[in-house]
Amino acid sequence: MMDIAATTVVETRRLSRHFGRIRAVDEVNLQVRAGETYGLLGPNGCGKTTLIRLLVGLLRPTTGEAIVLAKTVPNKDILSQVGYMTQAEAIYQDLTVLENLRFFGSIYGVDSTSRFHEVLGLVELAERANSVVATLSGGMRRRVSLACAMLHNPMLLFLDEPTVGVDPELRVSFWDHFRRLNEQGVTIVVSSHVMDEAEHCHRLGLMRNGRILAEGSASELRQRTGTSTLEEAYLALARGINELA
Amino acid sequence: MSWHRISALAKRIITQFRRDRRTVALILVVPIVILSLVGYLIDLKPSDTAVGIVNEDVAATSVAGLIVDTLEDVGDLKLIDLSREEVEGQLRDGRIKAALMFPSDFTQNLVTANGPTATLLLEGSDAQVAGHVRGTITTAIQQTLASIPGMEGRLIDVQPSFIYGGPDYSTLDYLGPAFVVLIPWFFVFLLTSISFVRERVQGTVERLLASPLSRIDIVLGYMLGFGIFSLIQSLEMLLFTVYVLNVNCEGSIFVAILIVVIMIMTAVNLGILLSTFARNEFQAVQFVPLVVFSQGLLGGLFWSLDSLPWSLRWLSYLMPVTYANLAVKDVMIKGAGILDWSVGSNLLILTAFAAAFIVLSSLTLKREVA
Repeated sequence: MMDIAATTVVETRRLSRHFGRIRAVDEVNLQVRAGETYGLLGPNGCGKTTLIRLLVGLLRPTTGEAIVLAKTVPNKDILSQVGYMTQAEAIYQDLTVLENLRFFGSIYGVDSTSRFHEVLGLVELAERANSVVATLSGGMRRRVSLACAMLHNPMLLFLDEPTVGVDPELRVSFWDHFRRLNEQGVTIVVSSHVMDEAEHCHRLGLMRNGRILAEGSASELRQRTGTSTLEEAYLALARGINELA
Repeated sequence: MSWHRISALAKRIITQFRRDRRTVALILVVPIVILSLVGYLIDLKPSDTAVGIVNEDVAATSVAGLIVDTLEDVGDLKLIDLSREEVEGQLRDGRIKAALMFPSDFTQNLVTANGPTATLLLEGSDAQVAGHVRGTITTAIQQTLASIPGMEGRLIDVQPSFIYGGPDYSTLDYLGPAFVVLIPWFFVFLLTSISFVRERVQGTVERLLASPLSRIDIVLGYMLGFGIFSLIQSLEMLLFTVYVLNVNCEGSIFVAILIVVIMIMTAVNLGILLSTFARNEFQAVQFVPLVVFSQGLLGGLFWSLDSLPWSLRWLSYLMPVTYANLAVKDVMIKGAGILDWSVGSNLLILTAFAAAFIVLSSLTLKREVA
């Protein structure tokens, strides 16, 4: 496991994506190591989703490049190793929970009922396996969406705001589960705009206007800025950039 | 009840419409386009219909010749001189739509008022064309006789006979094939485009594209899923049309189903293709006038292609429904089989359409990524 921990799973070099005049992702350099949880932190519209979509290979970079699992993306070959939980629920509303799992499972060649129930147990939805998704609450649907993303035991998980609409108690169990996945060697890239969640991440990239302002663990970032909370650290860094500009 | 609140609701709806320029344009423009098309088509007579003329009349002053002269003066029909042996082959090939035949004793019989005279042979697969040819010829004969001294008020008994269809055919027999084509086209296009828009709106396309599924897998999967439903639908429709409504089906029902299913493949992919340009289900429905009404009017379903001027007819040839309709009509009315050129060629073109749309729709899935 030690040599895996040393490898870089995601690496970007001056990665940029423009939409017309808007630079959604602007010269981003980042490295995510195997087995860690890397948090992309920043306000809505700062480019987190675009960055994740670039890394998954759903978007082509305007300039720069991204290497994911040793392949320059977009690359189809990595997709069976990647799990992606989108910001939208992205599950079929008129199917039951289990039918959704079966469908997404069959795409990845997962066809074991015990695996479906295992994953449902993790998101605490075992009793709702046969409920039609449309009848579930918003938080439950997000859990189904997460279950679909981890179904095939991916080596690399991209989670776009996974905890939105999830109640605090379950949120804690989500992060526990993410940590266990890390211990198994799974790498997680997670985006969030909630600063206090960032404490759970090994390392953070603070994003603003498509750029990464600073990188490091939560405590490193607080120390560097001489602040006591991550929120203050973020604001201090953002102000610093403004003064430079 | 409060006027204030009611008007607030109405105002909101107006604001929403004003935001959605495309809907407003559609509401105002499409009815005018369709009305003018219908208004134009409804009065349209088949033009330049090819009619074979077999004139064997030996009389020195041939009345047959005079009738042909009159027909030429009217100018509505394209007259082609043929021998009696050539007639049937040309009718079956579709090169002529009718043949008017005068026997050698035509003028003599007319003078002595003896027995049957001219015969009119109609191709008959298109009721509109057949009716037009009959009407034009009858009028021309009356005009000619009226201009010959001593023949005024004489009647010539022109016996029409039909290669296909005929007097036993009702309007439904002629329109049946059109509906067999248009109804599945409408449903499948609407269902695919809406369900694909839904995939986009709920984000599942994103998840599918981030999976090992390739774009062509997605397209083919959709085709298979909708193909099965359309197979059931077209089977039901054809069986109902033929066995309950008693519409004639000269050829094999299975060939007709095959044609419809291949057309459906085109519809599925057109649905995927156009769903790219719709942000929600509402906008997807707006493609119906464009994709369904236009082909219903110009696809040769209710107005034969021959009657369309070239300024419109080239559009018909760009529409997949046109070829499905031609092929299904040939099967149901003429009894043509899959190996007959008229069915086979249209089926090939239809398959080419389906293939082209498969490529296009998988390309738009790629573009979705950008």
